[in-house]
Order: sequence, then C-alpha cells, then structure tokens
Amino acid sequence: MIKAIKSGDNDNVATLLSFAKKNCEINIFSKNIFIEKIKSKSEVPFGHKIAITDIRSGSKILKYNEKIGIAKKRILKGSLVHINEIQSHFDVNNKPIKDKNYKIKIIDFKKKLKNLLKIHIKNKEIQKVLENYFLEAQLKNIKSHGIKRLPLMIKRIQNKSINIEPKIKKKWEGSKLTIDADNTLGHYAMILAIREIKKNINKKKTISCIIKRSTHFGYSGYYSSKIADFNCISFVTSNGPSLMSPVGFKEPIVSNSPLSISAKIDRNKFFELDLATSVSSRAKIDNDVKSLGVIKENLLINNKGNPTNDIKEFDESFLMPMQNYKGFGLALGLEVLTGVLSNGPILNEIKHKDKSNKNKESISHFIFAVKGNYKKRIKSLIKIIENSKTQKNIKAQWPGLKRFMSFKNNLKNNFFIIDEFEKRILNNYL
Amino acid sequence: MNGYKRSNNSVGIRNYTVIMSAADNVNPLARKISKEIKQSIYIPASYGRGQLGLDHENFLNCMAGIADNPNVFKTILVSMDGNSADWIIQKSKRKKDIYKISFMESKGLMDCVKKALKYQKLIIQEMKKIKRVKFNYKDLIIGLECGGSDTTSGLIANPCVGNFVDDLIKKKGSAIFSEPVECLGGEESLLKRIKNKKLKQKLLNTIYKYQKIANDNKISLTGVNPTPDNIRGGLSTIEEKSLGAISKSGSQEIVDIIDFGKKIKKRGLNLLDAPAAAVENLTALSAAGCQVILFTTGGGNPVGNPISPTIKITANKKTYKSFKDLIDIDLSFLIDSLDYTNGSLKIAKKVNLIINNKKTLSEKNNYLESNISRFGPSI
Repeated sequence: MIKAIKSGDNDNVATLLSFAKKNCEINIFSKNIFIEKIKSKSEVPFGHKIAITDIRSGSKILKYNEKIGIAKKRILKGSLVHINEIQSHFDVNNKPIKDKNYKIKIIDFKKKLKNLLKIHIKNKEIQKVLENYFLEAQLKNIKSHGIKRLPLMIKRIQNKSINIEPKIKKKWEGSKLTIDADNTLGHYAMILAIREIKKNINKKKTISCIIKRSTHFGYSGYYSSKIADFNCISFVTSNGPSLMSPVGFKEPIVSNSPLSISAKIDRNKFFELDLATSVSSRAKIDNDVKSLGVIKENLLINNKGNPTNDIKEFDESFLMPMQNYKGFGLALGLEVLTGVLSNGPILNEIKHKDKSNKNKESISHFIFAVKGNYKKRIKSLIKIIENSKTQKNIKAQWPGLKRFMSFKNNLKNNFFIIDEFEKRILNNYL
Repeated sequence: MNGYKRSNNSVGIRNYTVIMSAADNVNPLARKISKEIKQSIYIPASYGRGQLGLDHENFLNCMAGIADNPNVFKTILVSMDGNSADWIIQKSKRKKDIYKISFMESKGLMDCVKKALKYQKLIIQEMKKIKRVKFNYKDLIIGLECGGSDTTSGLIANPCVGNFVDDLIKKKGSAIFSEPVECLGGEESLLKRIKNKKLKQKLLNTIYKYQKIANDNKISLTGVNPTPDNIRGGLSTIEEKSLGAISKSGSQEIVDIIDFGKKIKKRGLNLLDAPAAAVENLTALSAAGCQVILFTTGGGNPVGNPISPTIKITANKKTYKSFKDLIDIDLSFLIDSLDYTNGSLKIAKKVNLIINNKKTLSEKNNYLESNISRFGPSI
C-alpha cells in the first residue's frame, strides 16, 4: 500500500512515504487516520508532495497548516507539487505571476470557437447563440463572462443541469410575455425572448417579459443592448443562486443579481449600464486570486459574518453587497421582479449550480422594454457627461463607453488579446 | 546523570584538555603540542589575524566560549604574541583554567612544547582531584542542529527531537536551536512562542538579516537554501524546510535570542544567531555552552563537534545504511506509526548514555571538526 501523510488539517498537499508511479492509488492519512484514495497524475518520489485537492494558480500551498509558498500554476489533484509548481515568498526572482498574453485574429477566434461549440454542444441553434455571445463578450473585453465560462457551462450541459433540447413555452397576455424555458441555457432563452420582443415591440410599444425555469445567461448588458437596438430603452435583471448577504449574516441568501439599462446612441454604440449588486463578482475575485494571489479588502464575508480577504477562507466566504445594506436591499428588490413575479424559486430556494447535483437551477429573468424616440435626449445626456468639468487626469466616462471603445478598437485591429487560460480553452484543453 | 563540576559551577560531561590556537599562524605549533599530549583536543584557528571589527569580536567570543564550555577541563592557549591570547582570555569567564604559551616570549619551538608538557603535568595532578558528581537537568544545555534535511527530517526526526526538547524544558533543562535562516517562512509560528515585545522584534531582525544578506548579494535563496540535496529530498521552498526545521525546537516558550559567539544567559529554550552550515553551527552551539548536541540529518551529514558530543539522528532508512558507522539513532522505523513519543524516548535514552560517558559514533570514529563563521573580509 502506498501511503501519503497530510501533516495539518488545512493542508492541500500530502507527503509520500514511498515511491509512487503514475496512475497509482495513493492512500492519504492524517495522524494515522485514513482519509481517502487519490490517483497519482504523475510519478511522485519518496518524500515528495502530492496535491490532495485542485489548487488554483496563485493560491497558498499549505503544509503543517502553514504557507510554504504560492502555486505557480493551476495544480490538479493527484499531481506532484515541487519546485516547478511552488514559488517561495523569499525568492528574489519573486514577481507576481501573470498569465502570458497572446494575439488572436478575429477570424481565427471565430473558427476555433465554432469548432469548439460543435464538439461540445449538439443543439445547432444554441451553438449559433453562443458564437455571437462569446465573440461580443471578448470584443468588448468582458473577460469575466467570456469563454472562461465555457468549461463550467459544458460541464453543466454534460451533467444535464442545463437542458439543450428544451420544449420552450411562451404565452402573451396583453403586453406581458411569459416564457417557460424548460431549464435550457439562459443565453438561448434570452435570445428567444428578444426575438419575440423584436416581432411585437412596434405594435405593443411596451413589453414586460418574465422568463422562468431558466439558467445563468452571462452578462446582462448584452441583452439590454440587443433590445435597445430596436430603438427601445430596456431593463434586464435576473436572480440566481444565493451568493451574497450583508455583514453580520453567516450565510448567503440572495444572488448578486445583475441589472442593466440600455439605450441606443448610434450604430453599435450603446448607453449600457451593467451592474451587479455585489461589490465585485466572484469571477473577478477568482481571477485576482489566480493572477495575483491576493484578494482585495471588503469584497468577501466569511461564514462568521465578518469581512475577510484571507485566501484560506475564499471557498467558504460569500460576496459583500455594494454599500452593504443598500446593495442587499436592491438585490431583494430585483428578487421581487424575478422570482416573485415568475412564481419560481426565490433566494436560497435556488439550488447551487455546480457540485454535480442534479437539481435544476431554475432561475428567473425579467425584461422591460419601452419603444420610444429618445435618441436626441440620450445624446444630450452623453454630451453633458463628457463636457462636465473634471480634475486634470480624470476623463468623464459614461456607462458603456469602455465596452464601446474596446469593441471599436478590436474590430479595427482585426485581432484581440487572450490569456493563457483562454488559449487553452480555445484549443480544447478543457 | 554524572558530570564534572567547573570553577564557574557549570557541569561538564567530558573532561577535555584543549590545545587552542589564538591565530592561524600558530596552528602548526598547537598541532605539534596536541600530538605530544595524550587525549588532548586540538582547536585550530582558521583566521585570527587581520580580522576587523565585529568579525574579530566574534572570533574572540567564540574561542573564549569554546574554552569555557563545561566539557573543557583546562585549555592551553598557544599564541604568537601574548596579546592575541590575552584578548581571548579577557572574554573568558574561566580565566583560571587557561594556560598561556606565547611563541615570541619563548626560546623556540621545543621550548614551547616543553612548557606545554609542564602545564600538562599540572593538569594531570588536578584532574586526579576531581570526581564525577551528580547533577540535575538545571545544569544541562542541549544544542539542536539539522543538516542535509529531507522530508523525513521535517516529518519524523525533527518532531521527535521537538518532543524530547519539550520534556527537557519541562524538567527545567535548557536547549538551544539555531540557524535563523531556516526560520524564514516560519516566523509567525515562532512569534507566538515569544512573550516579550522586544524579543519578538529581535527575532524578526535576526531572521530577516539573512534574507537581506542573500538579497544584497543578488542571490535567490532558492538554489542556496533549500540546497540541491534538500530539493532532491522533496523540499520545495525555504518555508517548507524552515517549518520542518523549527519543529525540532518543540512547542515551549522561547526565552532569549543569543548573539553569535555569545554564551547562554537565560535557562530554557534559546535561539542562537549563527549561519546554517553544519560545522560552523556546531562550533557556535558549543561556544554557547552546550554539553551535548542533537543533530538530525535527512540525506546524511556525518560531522560532529570535538567539544560537545554530537548525537546523529536520521529517519531516512537509506541514509542510515550508508552512514551506519556515524549515525547514532535510526528513527526510520517510525515511518508508519509517526509515534513521536516513542522517538523522543529513544533519543532520551541515548542522551543519558552519552552524558554518562558513553561515546558517540563521531567521537569513536574521530569524525570531528570545528570552524568559526566569518562575515566580512580581513585586511
């Protein structure tokens, strides 16, 4: 029997007590108590360490309950952890670990994305929807909701928590549209709703759309701006699995719901207010942990109800609402517009998406669109913002400007920048 | 436990006569004398002339510390001019036990040897008078060192020594651990074991001094420490090595930090500021007053100190096999049980034997060396 010893309760590595070949079963012990069997992903010599969980790039390697360094890269459970994987804090060559960047031509990106979606997603219509969505997310440089989300999405399609052969039902009552999305991909449900809105908005002028039994749809500005393109002012929000509570709560009860308001300014140019009700998104914090190995202050709350920026507590912590109680209140208000209005699950009735449970996520979205002739006024609004007096090095910005600029520049250059992780995804190393 | 009472009330477990050089230019003379005098121990000087400031001070303190070690009965201090010997004697707390021979004040080489033999006669006469007396833990100081560390050091050997040290401190004995460079990354756990605020700051200054030396010389501690053999043994970073190394100091309060070359002042667990290299470190531990040193090794480090009997311990089966005639305790059988109490009992038994005049393997095989660290150039 090959044994490895875990020296501290919080350790994420164990020390081998004999030599292990690749694909060997290794028995992990802590103080003589058997914990679990792990398969070795590589050869591990006597006395060397093996990862007993997946370890994020940039997070702490713990042995004897203490930090012995930072992970230089993502380390998979069962692989060797040694000098190529750990960076000492005391190394003079110690620099923040940053992913390499690569240029990719838009045409090549499109081709690779198309192939990738073909391999993993059978439904052709959903393929098409995601192609457009991911291209725009990358062009607008919304990294946290770009193709980095694809691996998780594919996993959820594979374990059937997302239904890609849905029977979607729609129902019109006056200007109220209700859609039952049959647990399909949120992106697809939203695009179907938008098609329906496009067909009817000229006649109805105002449409409220409630989508129930749906799943995560990416970033909400994408959809509000799509609707704004029909010369509408639009509002989009959603609920989701609970990830957030204010300081003092020991568990998260509400999602960090997105809300976006869009209006068209010109071709491809939108006023696009896109917010979440938390201070920062989980994806962004995760990215910081991966690339810098740190968490900024006042983003997370631990399970004792206190603010934290300790990486050790990352997995057990939840998101802090923006302005604490105000963000919490806003999220609850949005919950009324979604879960309450759709008669679907609310707050922590919504089951957590991953962790391989078979429960369908079943979240609700809400869209509100008003047709109108507002272009002059929105241009004036932009102008007032741009012409307002500011400090020397502060440029007055309006919601959507950053996204518009990256979109414009990337299209002009015909290429954009992706990082190591995105490159790996595109090359189908999921 | 039985030992030899000294003039300053310390108790030695050996009764050595030391022939010491005050500077490197009299090493051949001291060596010649030590050959004439049976069972004497020769302590050469690596430098001693042209050393400056702190380096010179360190050298004198260390030499005086060796002469004052409780295991030393008498010292014959050989020097070129009287002055260099006097400097050492001034630092000593047992001035009466040092006999001085100055080359310049003698009539040549053979005259010096004659003088030494005269002193030897006196020493033998006095030696007859002293008897081994009982002593208790209050007078016992044990040094702790590790070398050629690998995973088994941190996993088995050092925690066993740590258990032993905890017992020793509870019995009012003292222990000195060293190698502050191998505390880098373990500062937090050490700080928790210090009560005094000033001492906490001193700990950090002492530890970071070595990082600064490395950084100032544009050396990455990776590659130097952990050393290539540490890395082959499975240690990836200085933090990991440190945490394993620190475990040999047990869990008791740290009462004082001893400067390089200085002697222990407070009884209990002490940290000594000295470089990690084994021979230099053992010498500093001996100069600080240790009667016995426990030396854990992973990949194998055979060396012992000539004044303070050095008990070599390993938990690496392979190492035990290849260094069998130099390693006193094999703990590799603990790899399955990780029973540190069992390991510490085994160590305690051996320490007791060594104290009561049984020889360590490095003493038996004369694999002994001493050398004083230096930090700057000579001019």
